[in-house]
Amino acid sequence: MKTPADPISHMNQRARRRVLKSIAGGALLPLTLPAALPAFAQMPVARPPLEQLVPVMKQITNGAPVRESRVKLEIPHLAENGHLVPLTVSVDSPMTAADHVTTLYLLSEKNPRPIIAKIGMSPGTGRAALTTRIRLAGAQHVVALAQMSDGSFWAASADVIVTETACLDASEIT
Amino acid sequence: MSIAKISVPSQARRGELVEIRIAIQHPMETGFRMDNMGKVIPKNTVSNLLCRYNGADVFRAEMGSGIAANPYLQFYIVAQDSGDVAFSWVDDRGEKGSASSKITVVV
Repeated sequence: MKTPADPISHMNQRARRRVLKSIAGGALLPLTLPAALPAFAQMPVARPPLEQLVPVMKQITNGAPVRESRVKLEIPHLAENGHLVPLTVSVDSPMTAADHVTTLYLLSEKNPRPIIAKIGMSPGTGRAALTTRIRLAGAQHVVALAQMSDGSFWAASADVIVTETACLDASEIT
Repeated sequence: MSIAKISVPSQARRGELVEIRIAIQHPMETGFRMDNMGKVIPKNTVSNLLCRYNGADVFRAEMGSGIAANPYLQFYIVAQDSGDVAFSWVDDRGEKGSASSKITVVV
């Protein structure tokens, strides 16, 4: 999966505090500042995106590895209206009886129901491509996960900023 | 019975990829909204949609609240023989709908 462009904003709280503390300690004595630098080097890797989706994906894949590259997900990076976001998924597959996409999942990181849609395809589909319109409750990652006839899983994710969110969750209604 | 608009080319060559589009008139109620009395409107989405080409299942979609109102799907099928491209769907309330269109395959 893609790592976020700004790792600092995704850094977990404890690590941030540790880093801040080491900076605060060093700030008093400028000479010790270089000592604080390794703290940055050891900074934990940014929060893996799609953390919330890991259990959902695990349930679908049954623990099988998910690889990237064969799935292409086209979705606007900035969506004005979360009630209607156009999306196109295509999977690089010959769609023959021996090698085709059997199921295509559209997953959302923040919607109250993470599985947006489950699409069944067959060799008769000819081309593994789908265009639809989805709802998104806030800025988030959207994942397209494809299961092939040989049982392998391929996925792609995209980051979407939603200005006007779709009120999918009751907690958002005040 | 819900209303749908489908687009299937009337003619195609054998083996040609044809683009199929369907838009169903349906609110795709999420189950998270309330009416003016504060009562939750139950979830009602087109949960199951099936596309059959000459009697064989070619495409299927299970849609939840994450699909926008008036669900729209665009996909492809391979033209093989002249016949029907038939859609049938059902929503959470058990209401069924169907639509079909003929395709003529020229060699």
